[in-house]
Amino acid sequence: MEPKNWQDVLWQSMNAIRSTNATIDSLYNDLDSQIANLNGIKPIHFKTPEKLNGRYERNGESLEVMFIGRDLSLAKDNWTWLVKELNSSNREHKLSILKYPTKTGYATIVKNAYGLESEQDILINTLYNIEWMRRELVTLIDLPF
Amino acid sequence: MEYRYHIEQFVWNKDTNSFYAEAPFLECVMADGSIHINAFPNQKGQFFIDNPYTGGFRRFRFVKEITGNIDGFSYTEWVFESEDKIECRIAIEI
Repeated sequence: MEPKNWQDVLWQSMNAIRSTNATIDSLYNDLDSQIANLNGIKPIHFKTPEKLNGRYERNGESLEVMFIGRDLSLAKDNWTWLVKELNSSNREHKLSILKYPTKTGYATIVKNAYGLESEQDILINTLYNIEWMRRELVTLIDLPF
Repeated sequence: MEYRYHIEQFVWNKDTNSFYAEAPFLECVMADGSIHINAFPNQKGQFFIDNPYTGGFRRFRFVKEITGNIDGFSYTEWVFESEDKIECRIAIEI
């Protein structure tokens, strides 16, 4: 049955959970997926997210970027890269792209740096510019001096 | 006498262009490289934040004190500012 309204979406999702014993995370995934389908929104997909993996130098600091798949600390399904400082601090920062956009033509980027989380909407096409993504990842740790 | 702090002791918020730290947990580095016995010895006097990775630093001077109450817990913050308007908020009571 194709979903017609939010009640149908919720009913279908609840039924999906019942049959598989899936977790709350799966319920969120299913809801996001069905709402996106209802609104005609395509999920964001990266063919080779690991392409951004590697070691980078930034302002005399060495960083390691690694694609980790989904960050479970975020309720919504996402693509997440970890940025690790290769110094004594070993601090980790994260950059996530939410899989299901809520606004046509835009993607939501969630940054978690120095323990602070921020969210912004960006044009979807920007995401597929690998140099832009690299810059966003390495500047995640930028300090003002 | 200069009172200096390593930048890694502070939380940096790019959106508000500000640092934040809790005074009792700071380590103040003296000119001879030793750590002062008090976490925040110069009180409302100026201090420096150093970023040894870039060689950069800023001097921060006291601007104002903020007090408030959240859910029955009172707090005090001292707000410092650099010459180029970077803010540094130090939580005095936590």
